[in-house]
Amino acid sequence: MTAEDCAKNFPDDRTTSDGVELLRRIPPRHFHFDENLGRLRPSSAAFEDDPDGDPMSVYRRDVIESEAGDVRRVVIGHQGYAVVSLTAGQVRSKRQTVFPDPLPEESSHAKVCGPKTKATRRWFSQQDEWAIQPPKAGLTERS
Amino acid sequence: MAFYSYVAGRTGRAPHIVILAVEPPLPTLAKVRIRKRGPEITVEIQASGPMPQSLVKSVEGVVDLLGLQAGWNSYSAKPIEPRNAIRAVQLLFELLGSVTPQPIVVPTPRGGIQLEWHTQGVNIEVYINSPTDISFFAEQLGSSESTEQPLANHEDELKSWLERICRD
Repeated sequence: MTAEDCAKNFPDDRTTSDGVELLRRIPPRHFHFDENLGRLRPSSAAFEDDPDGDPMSVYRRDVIESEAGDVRRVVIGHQGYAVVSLTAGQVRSKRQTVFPDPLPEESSHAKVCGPKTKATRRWFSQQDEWAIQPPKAGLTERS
Repeated sequence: MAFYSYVAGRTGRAPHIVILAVEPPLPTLAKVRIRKRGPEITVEIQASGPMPQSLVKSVEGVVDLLGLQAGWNSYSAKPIEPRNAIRAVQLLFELLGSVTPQPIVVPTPRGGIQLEWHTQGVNIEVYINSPTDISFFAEQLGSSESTEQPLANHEDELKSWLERICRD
């Protein structure tokens, strides 16, 4: 989706400050050990928009905590998943909007909209921090 | 790993040794066929030549992705398209030598496949979005050297990047 389409359909919510953490659920297929970084990190493939064109889903940590919730609620029912955190400021620096999109089952749900070039996806995959570490059993096997 | 033939002999002078480097025949892919009938998937791969362990494991990784169902990433990811898996297997045969590290085989939400290496100060990612839409990114960490290219007409460039991470 272009930046123009995002500004029109998923406008940036400026009440979400740059410091707000946006949580992205990462499936076991999308994290692996990076020998160069010396740590586990998600693949750039974990930061694509949905195939149907819907922008990338995230969960706002500030909303979860304002409800006295726990971030682990975003992986309930998703065994083996991990969760990474990017700030709103980080995604905005890559021409993305942060659009609150509360769902009946998850009030913290939001969309990150903007053109996700390969370079942008790679950048996301190296900037994020783990909010919930991958379980050891989910590690990608390496030679 | 190359195989060496050592020939030693005498010529009336000092003994000499001639080392003949004989490269083993490369693994050759003859055919890949994938059949999907409902939940049943059959993958037929015909190949000859020595198969490095990294190649075998990588191909198994691609085949494994074919079992992913729609929504496998908990969002709305598509199943991996068989034609992309076939192209990925072909690419693995073209790219992986006996000392090339095993890539990380990653499914993408749109039904494609990524091959990734993050080792020895080099990052390489190959994006198979469709059999005709393949590109790659490579960078040398600690320098400004990087490239992002379509694979078509740049195969040798990708191979030269892979040579940087080959293990003796």
